[in-house]
Amino acid sequence: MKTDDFRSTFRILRNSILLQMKSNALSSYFISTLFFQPVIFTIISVGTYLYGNKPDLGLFAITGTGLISIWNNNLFTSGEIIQGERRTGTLSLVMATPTSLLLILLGKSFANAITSIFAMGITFLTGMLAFHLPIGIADPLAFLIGLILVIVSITCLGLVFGSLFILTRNAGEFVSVANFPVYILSGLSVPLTLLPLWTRPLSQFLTPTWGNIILNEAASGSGGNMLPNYLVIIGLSFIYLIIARILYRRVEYLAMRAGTLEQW
Amino acid sequence: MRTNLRLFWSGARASWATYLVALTPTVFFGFRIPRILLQSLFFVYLAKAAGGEPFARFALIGNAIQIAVFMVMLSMEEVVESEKWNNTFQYLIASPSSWFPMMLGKSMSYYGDALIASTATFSVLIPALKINISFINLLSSVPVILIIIASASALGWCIGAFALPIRYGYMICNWFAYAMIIFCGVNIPTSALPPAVQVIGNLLPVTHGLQAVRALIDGATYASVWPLIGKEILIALIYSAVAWLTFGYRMRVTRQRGTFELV
Repeated sequence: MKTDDFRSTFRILRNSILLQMKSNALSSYFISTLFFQPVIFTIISVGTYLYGNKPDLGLFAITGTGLISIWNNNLFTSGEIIQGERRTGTLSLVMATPTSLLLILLGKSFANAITSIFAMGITFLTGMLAFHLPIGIADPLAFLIGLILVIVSITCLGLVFGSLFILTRNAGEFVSVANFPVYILSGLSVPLTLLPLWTRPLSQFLTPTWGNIILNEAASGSGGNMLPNYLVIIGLSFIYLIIARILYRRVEYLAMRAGTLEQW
Repeated sequence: MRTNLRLFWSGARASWATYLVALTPTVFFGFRIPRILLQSLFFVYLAKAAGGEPFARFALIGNAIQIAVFMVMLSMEEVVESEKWNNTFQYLIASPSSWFPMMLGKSMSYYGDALIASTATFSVLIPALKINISFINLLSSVPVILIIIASASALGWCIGAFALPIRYGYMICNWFAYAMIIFCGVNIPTSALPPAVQVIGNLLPVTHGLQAVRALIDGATYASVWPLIGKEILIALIYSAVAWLTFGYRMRVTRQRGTFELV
């Protein structure tokens, strides 16, 4: 890659991130999702475990809920980004520019993912305030590294879904149906052992599954060597990026051939 | 009477037409039904992990009704709010006829939608999760489920009327509906909640009706759950009255101030 290419790529990413962060700061929907959802889901999941006399699963429920919020924010806003561009009539313009839409969306999705780190903090805070759970993170460094890797990886996974939003006006419906399977298959707040065996390969392919394992092990201090799990998440991120790139090329071609991006 | 019936009918036709445009077969079977089932499945699995089969059964009954409540509340809020976004609120104000039959008609397809949601959840998840629920007892509780849907719709209408001058009505209603999972004893019995939360839950629709449905499914008679049904109906009437008065107030104030575009 030439120096100019690198600089322009960096500039596009930076501007996309900044634009999306400004947009998020003004979006009541994003802010409410960021703050309310973790509180409600934490109360439901931790409350259910406490009612079932399983307080030892409280931390598991809290990290799971944090990841639910991060995934939810990322997926919802990936859908919103495309819908927003479509509604404002800029989707076709963005697609017509020499800059790859994938790059712009990568920046925007990453901005959402970074912002949604707050959600993880809110779940821990809710657990402490609402249930007086003695919550501490046994290995903060491993937790932080895991969280960063998960956020990057979830951004890449969001791009795979984001590509499909270009083709449909029903992104909102798609988002609402794509949320819960990921929660269930990734074992977020719900143990994977409850699921049928045939779902295991699907779970292994989802980055929140590994994120959940890493964050739980780091928070409870029960983990041994974290490196293999980190490597899995990094590997999955690359796979998502490759899939997203292939999908975007195909979707870009289909959208340009159909010429219906302005239809709303 | 005939005019009101005609208004109701035209509202119901508009509601059905809107429903069909928004929910094509692909969207309905590809997105809507899976979403309904998966949302309930998540909460049922959560309960199962916490307390095994009895908890899962409790959560399934709660969530199968909650999903209908969730949908009808959001839809009712949307029916009210759509008058603002479609710029039809001023016509509603200017019309010499009563607004109520038309608005009630516009809600009809959403009542049907809520019933479908509940039916789909029960009929798919009971056999899928092998949960022991008597079909006959479940059928006998349908009238109470209809009362719950009606009372939840009154709350949705209420939120819509209150939130009419602001832009975030749908969002507020969305979070309110989620919070009702906690307050109304959907996943956990209200008796296990802190006293303050129980007080709030007792003032909300769904709580008493859901208790009645659970009792009926467990084989109780209507005579024994009548106090719970009575409370649910009373709460529905109170919320309906508040919604009626608030919506009427919004219309009156908007006409007085001429702020149709600002509603």
